[in-house]
Amino acid sequence: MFKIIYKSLMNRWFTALLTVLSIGLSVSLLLAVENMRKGTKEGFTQTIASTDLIVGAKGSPLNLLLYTIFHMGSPTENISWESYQTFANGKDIDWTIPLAMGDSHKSFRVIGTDNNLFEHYKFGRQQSLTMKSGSFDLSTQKVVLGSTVAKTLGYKVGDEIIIAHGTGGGVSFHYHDDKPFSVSGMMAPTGTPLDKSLFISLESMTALHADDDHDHDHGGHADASENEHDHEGHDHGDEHEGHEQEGQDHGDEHEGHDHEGHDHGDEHEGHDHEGHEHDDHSAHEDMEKPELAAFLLKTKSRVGALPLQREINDFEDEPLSAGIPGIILSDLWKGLSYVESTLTGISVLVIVIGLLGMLITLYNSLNERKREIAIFRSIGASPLYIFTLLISEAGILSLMGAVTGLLLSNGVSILVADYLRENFSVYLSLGVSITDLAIVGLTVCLGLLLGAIPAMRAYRQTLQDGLTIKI
Amino acid sequence: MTETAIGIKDLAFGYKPSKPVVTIQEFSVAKNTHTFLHGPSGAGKSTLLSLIAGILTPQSGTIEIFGETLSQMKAAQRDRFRGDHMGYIFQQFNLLPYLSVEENIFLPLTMSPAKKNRSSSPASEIDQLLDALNIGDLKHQSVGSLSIGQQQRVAAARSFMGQPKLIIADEPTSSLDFDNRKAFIECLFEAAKSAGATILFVSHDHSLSSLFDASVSLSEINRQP
Repeated sequence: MFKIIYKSLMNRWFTALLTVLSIGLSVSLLLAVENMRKGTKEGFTQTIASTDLIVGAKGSPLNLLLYTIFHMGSPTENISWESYQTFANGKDIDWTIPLAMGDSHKSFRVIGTDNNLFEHYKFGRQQSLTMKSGSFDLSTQKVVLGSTVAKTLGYKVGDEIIIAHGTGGGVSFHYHDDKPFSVSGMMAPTGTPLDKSLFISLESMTALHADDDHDHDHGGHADASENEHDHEGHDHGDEHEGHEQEGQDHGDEHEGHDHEGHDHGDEHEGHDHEGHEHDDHSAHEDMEKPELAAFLLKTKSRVGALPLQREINDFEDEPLSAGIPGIILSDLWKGLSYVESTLTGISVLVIVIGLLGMLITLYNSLNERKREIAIFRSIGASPLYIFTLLISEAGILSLMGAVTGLLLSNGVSILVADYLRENFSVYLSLGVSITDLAIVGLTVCLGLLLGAIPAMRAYRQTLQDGLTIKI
Repeated sequence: MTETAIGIKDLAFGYKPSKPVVTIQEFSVAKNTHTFLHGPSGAGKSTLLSLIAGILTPQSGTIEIFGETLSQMKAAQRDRFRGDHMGYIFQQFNLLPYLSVEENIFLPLTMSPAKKNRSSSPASEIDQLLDALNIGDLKHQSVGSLSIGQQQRVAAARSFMGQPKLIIADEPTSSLDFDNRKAFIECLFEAAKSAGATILFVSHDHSLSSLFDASVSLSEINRQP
């Protein structure tokens, strides 16, 4: 019987091929959408992996996560260095990653952090950060670029860039052009918002902000405290003139802009000491103790995370809140789940349409196949045999279509998996999953169900028509 | 006393029971004879053949084939009986275009275990049939390349495959010219003779009746109420 079905199908190979392709394409669409959906979810919920808690000022943990990780909105309050230290040095803490924000470079956010970020931050499937070029060097006036930043702006290691105060999308920036940063390294793509970030040390950021304060407070006047800052930045004069080039080196700046008449010799030698100098000379506390927008934290024992979360939420010295990133991300994802249901719904409809195409093809072929059916009847075939013949054909077509779809979607997945992971943080799963098999199975079942319609019609015809071939 | 191949009594059938198409009080075909059944188009010839083949069931009356009462069988039994004991030749389009000549002739054996059992050596049986029907050279050709006359002979060969005792031919010659008709019928008889088969041959063409043992007019036996 299968030989007959096979030969019969081969006789109509072109329509059969089109039917298989149409089912195959729709199945592969559904599989791809499912795979993308899961991959996107995985990429999204694993934006921060292996972090137990994210800690920031009192407020909604969702908001905290949005501004620290996804660069949406801005922190309502910063948290103090003291509070950070309290928890960072607590027992049972594996590591912490401080995150300070408030500056940007060409609409990319600048994050103040330390080497712990590079060392401990994990994303996706527990992947560590890696450098594409240069090193993760956050010493003074050094900046590390996320991959998107590097690619978009075309920077190289060693380039000097200027960081602007504020993150408001390019409006009324104050440029820290007195303090160019040189690019020390560029990270490999992660597919997370880190790609769109620049990283400087907490100290550098504090210094910038200290400088800002002066600019805002004093309008660029040279006074005692400003002089201090001037030394750190080397080219305070440029702020007034507004034409400083990024590439200008410190030596030039000193020669050219020393109009305030200070002697900077010793201060230039060691930028690392800027903070201390300010501590000595200025009234601004933030110079010494950087304020953080948030910090990430990992406990040594995972079970310690929950008590610690309570402890942080109840912290008396400063109102803090701590959230578990995985849970917040999952909640956030659930809020977006109507998008995924819509996608899945659409692709299921596409499969139904593909199978309806098969139904139409099979139904139309019934007329041409009346003689075939009559011949089978004449040699003793029962109506049930005719029914089985036709429904098997539908089953074979939908099975072949589903398998084609499976191969197609896997093939495409293999081709684009790396690209999607690096650029969109979408983790495609390769190979055949249970879901894939379920989709294939459901497609075949649906195909058999729809195939039953022409098969039933043929069944009834064989009962009514007798052995005449009416064409 | 010859045995009866087909015996029909008090048969009544209509696609709608209120409008009978075939009403036959008595009709019989003796075993090993060649019976010519003629009637004008629309006289119910094909309907009668479907009844005899067991594809349609009469509203009343009995049909016996080789002593077995078709009208008492279930649908599946009738299908089996037809597959085992009958061969059928259509007016045209007898062959599956996607099978070879040989595969087409072999087809009844795939459907009926009884025919397969009777055919101890299908390969030599096909050769004999093809020789008897003068189409020995067509065995490996594709169906599409055959003329209509050749197709009908292949169909005849298929109907004899597995040695059924009753061959039903539904206007098999209507698409052939006269010379071909005569040659075809002679070949048919030749094959039937060696197989010991009964032939019920239906046509609207009276001129062929002289070739048969018996000739029956459907309009005479089919009495509309």
